[in-house]
Amino acid sequence: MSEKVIEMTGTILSVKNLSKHFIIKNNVFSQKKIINAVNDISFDILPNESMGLIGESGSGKSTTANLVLRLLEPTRGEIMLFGKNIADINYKEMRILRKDIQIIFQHTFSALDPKMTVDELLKEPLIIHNIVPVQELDKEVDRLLNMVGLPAGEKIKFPQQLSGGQNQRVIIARAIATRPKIIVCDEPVSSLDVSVQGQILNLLIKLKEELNLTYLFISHDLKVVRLMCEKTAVMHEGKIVEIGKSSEVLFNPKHEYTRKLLDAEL
Amino acid sequence: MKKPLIKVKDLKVSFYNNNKAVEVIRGFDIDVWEGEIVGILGESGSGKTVSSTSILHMMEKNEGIITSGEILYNKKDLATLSEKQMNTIRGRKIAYVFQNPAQALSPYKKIGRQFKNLLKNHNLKYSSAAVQSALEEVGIKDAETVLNMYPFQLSGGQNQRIMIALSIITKPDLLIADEPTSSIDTSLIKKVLDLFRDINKKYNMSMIIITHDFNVAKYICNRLVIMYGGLVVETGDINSILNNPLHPYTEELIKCAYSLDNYKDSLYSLEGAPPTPYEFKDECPFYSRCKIREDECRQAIPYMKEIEGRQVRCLKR
Amino acid sequence: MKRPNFSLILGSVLLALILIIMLFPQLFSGKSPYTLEQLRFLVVDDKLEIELAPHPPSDDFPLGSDDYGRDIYSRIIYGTRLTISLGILIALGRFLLAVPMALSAGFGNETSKSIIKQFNTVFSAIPAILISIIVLSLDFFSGLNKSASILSFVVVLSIVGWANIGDVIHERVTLINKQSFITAETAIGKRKLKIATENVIPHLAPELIVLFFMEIARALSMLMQLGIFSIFIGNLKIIIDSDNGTLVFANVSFEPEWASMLGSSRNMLHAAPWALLYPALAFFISVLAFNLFGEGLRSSMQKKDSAVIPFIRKLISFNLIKSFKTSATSAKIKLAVFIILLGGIIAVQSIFSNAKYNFEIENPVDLRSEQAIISTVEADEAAEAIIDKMKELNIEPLYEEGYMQEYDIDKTCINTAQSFVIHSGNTSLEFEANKDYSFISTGSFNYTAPVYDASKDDLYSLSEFSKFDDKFVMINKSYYSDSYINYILSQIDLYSSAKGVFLYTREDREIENYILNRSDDMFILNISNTLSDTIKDNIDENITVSAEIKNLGTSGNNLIGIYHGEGALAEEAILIGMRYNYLDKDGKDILNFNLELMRRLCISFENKRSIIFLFVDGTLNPIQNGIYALAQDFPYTSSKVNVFIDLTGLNSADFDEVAFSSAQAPFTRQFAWSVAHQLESSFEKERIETAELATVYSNGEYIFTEDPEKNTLFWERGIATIVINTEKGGSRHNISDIGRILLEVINKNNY
Repeated sequence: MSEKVIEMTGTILSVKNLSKHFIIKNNVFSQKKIINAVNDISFDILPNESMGLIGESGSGKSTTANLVLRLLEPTRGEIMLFGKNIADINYKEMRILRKDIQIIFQHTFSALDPKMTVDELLKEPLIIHNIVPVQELDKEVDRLLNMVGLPAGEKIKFPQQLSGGQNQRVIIARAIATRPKIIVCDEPVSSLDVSVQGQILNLLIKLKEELNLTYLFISHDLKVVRLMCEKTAVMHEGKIVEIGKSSEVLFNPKHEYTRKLLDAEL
Repeated sequence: MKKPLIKVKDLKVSFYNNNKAVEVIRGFDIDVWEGEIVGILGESGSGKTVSSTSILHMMEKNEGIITSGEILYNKKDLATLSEKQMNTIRGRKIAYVFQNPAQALSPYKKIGRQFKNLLKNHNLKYSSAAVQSALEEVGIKDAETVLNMYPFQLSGGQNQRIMIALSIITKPDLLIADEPTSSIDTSLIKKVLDLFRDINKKYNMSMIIITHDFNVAKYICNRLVIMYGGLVVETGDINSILNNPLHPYTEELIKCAYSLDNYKDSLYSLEGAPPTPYEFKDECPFYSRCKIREDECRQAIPYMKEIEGRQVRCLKR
Repeated sequence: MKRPNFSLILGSVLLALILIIMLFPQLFSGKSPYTLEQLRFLVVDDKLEIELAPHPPSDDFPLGSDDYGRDIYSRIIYGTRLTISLGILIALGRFLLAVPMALSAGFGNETSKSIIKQFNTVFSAIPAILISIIVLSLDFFSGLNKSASILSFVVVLSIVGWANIGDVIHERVTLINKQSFITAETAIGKRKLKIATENVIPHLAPELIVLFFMEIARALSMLMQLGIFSIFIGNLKIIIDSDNGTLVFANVSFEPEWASMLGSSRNMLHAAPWALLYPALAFFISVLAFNLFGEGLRSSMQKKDSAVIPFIRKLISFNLIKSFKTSATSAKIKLAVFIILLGGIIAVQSIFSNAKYNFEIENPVDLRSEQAIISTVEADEAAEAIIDKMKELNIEPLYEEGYMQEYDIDKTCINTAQSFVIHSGNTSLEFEANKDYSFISTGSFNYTAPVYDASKDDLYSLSEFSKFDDKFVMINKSYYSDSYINYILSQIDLYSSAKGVFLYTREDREIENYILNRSDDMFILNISNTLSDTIKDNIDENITVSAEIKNLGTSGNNLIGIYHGEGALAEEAILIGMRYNYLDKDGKDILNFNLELMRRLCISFENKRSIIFLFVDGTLNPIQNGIYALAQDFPYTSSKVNVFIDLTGLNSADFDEVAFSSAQAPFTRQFAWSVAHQLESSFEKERIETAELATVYSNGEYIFTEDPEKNTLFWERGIATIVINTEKGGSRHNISDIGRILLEVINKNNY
């Protein structure tokens, strides 16, 4: 009942009974092995209510991120993006909807084509989704770079000429280029240096407010989730074991596994 | 009571790329005493991994060359030893635990075979009891089954433990672990670090732990070496560094690391990025990001000062 | 620290050398790869020694010669272009199949995946070479001409060989696709095709370039293996022996190409190892060159600062020229791209090198008269027009006295009016000249007489001629030999006062004759079978035969001029024989065609050999043909004439098929053989049907074409002759097609 109400009031992303099974077959003779990477999970993300997804590696959080972006094909379940089920639409339809849901990657160096300049990288989403007229492309690229705090002069550079933090800014600029409502952040700072992590998190917080963004924030770092998200879901072995307000889940956990995670913090 | 085990003095390492020499390590000094756990802490590009691999001459593709400095161990200068002589030390006297299990474990050999090969290389006798006890020591219960498995059949955490077991089976004097926690889950970090500490206690084995995480360092290390821009910028025991950092970089880094814990309006962060080896100049490496910098910091690379038994590379202290 | 990239340096040097040889083979070898020298005469110790091919390496033959006495060295040099091009084309064909397939498989297309897998499985179980041998040795493939043969080789070897490379590329694509920047591109909503072209291919391309060079090497070694099994392009089986009723074939290729050199000399390993060794060495060196270059390229590209990928991306975004100028692309890559482009161009060009000549008659000579028959004023006018044209084109006379060669002919005439009427009761049946009947011998007469049907008589035992008196005698020619018919005719003329003789034969033959031997008191006619039947039906009726004649002169004029070639081969000549007599508009067109052909041969290209243009008089009647006179007094050294192309038999401007004979351009007459061979394949390519001119056995010897005038120069002067005839009837082709083909072929053999 309560879920219905939320949907009426306009969830951004609503996931229902989503599952992803991988079938592993090592060789001809071995038995098929089914891995339930994501097993029947449901959650809703409301506007301005960023959700953190925590768990160990292998708990299915990255798979979930890839599923809601349709970078992986779900085995079953619904993924409602603004009330439209994107779980079973084709590649072409999804391509157009990608404008509204974007992703920020963990590995800053491998998520950008190493042989494209920053300028080319940023123009790509603008051209694909026809965000601005062609003659304003350069202006828009400068504006995006400014928003993520990169000097406009950096746009002639290639990713490997930039530092990890700068690359992450390019990735973020690329993600916000299409004016998405929701951005999936897949461990956005875990590959960055301690001294730079803060810059990126500050930037994400700033953009969240300025652009009215909602994040699905995947991290193994509980502190970061505490900071970024209003809501937290804990995943364990493909299932969401606990979901609720961050203040509840991360300070007063109900589930045994969540407690274990909190205890393990250094 | 305590004796120094290994002493590295002013080590410099250069890499060759397209006929151009690039100095990656400009000054690396470290003393490790018997039974001590020393942390090397630094950001990416600071030279922490290269400096520790160069102790064992394990630079990538032999492109790196020790250009000066000495590594005193057991009355020998490791910097001048031949590859053949190094083989008797590498893995036997000084063991190295890689960041990624894939680097260290051969994917096509069963775990048991890997133990056998290692022992054979060092002319040690293989005894399944010893291997099993080593495995049990690192927390692998069903040792016999595991010995008959391939690395890919085991989880990342298990492989990590096997690597540690492989390193300690020869009972080395020194164990160097490169980011031992970065490829495992948060929930396991504590356990792995506990394991290291147990081994340290049990065999009085000295350790060098390379990390970028203050929490890890705080949890396990006795002493800390902070690196920046290919240089050691500060050394000292862990508590005094955390409570009273001398080098401005250390100070800023600690502020960054703990700003998540006491978040107000925004996170504390350092602007700019650390210099890459191509950008190294003869000045204080932290000059561009430093808040207390002065012109004299640009004159030359600052020397190491000794303050209250701690060392710091800063003119302003 | 840095080691020089030896494989790249050595590979580039070798490839550059190969490239130069491909482009300018003449720089390296002055000798023609086609020249045959089966016998050599050497003077050793003042004694003449005769040496039979294959000749061992010597000053004349640096690497020896093959079985036919062809120089191995120049065959290797001239064969480079064809062999390497073939290798490049096969590699290209394989890539054209493999790259799209691998890309689509890499993007998850199951069909493509399984096709690659199946092909790989099949061709790893059955060696590709075996399948190639089986397929390519089918008769269908061995009978193809050069271009079709190249095409079929490329197709077959591409199909059997692409899967291997496809698998490698597929693996690479899968690897690239696993990188997270590809996921990132998907996440911003990029099309798969665009991801493939803009993100995958640029990362794949350095590898592709390397693989391409390696693949050329693989293709070349496959060609070598096929060569050993006598499978090579332009393969031709010729009968070398038919002893004991068994046909013995030899595999010969007349194109210089390495694989064929291996294939045709593999049996001579002991007798002439050089014939096998050097082509194999050529293969070895070029395989090595391509492999080294590929390896070197790979290692130089693996450097981190290599600018290859941005360059390729620009290449793909169609900024080729701009990026070539501006980007900091390394010289090596430019070199690689350049080599590929150039190689491709040469490869394509070597197949389709027949630059098409347009053959149109631009300024037809205005010939006033409607007919030009030997020994008439009109013929003189035509001759004058031809001579004017020759002078205009700087064609010099061959005889001291001028372009004309005068010769005597028998007294002849032509009919100006004629009729043949059967008076059947009150009606009279009229017949058409040159259709139902034609005159062999004529005069200005008007005879009306009954017919004596001699077809039932035995003319061998003829004793009484009086029964023929004042009658027309009808004889069935098919019972008697030609010479006996001549004898009978002379007997009838001598012993009877018959008004005329009608000859008919059971087989239907076209009746056509214009220029006639004169007879003073008797008609001799050929009549058709229909007419002979009609006559038999009306055997008792009178027939009226009448004719008016015009007498012709007693001399003909051949016109001969020479257009001098330039260079070392100028002494050698090509003789082109054409006609200038004509009877109607069609014949006039042919004369204009001949003149245009002469003009085009003089101006279209730089002639290495001289060309002798011969306009033959008297071509309308075999016995007046000027060729006999020419054969008696040929004004040029016969042995220097490489070939005589006889176009005097072009009887119609529009035709369906060409009657062709190269029987007098035997294999031993290499230049003529080659021209004939190429003419034949050009006809085939242009879909012009050819009919071989019949060979007849007469007086104890074979005459290669029925018409003796067509082989006079061959038998009398030893000049290799190619005959091209056209006959009336049909309009599928025009004579200008022949002109175009001749221009092409003569230019192609202009070395």
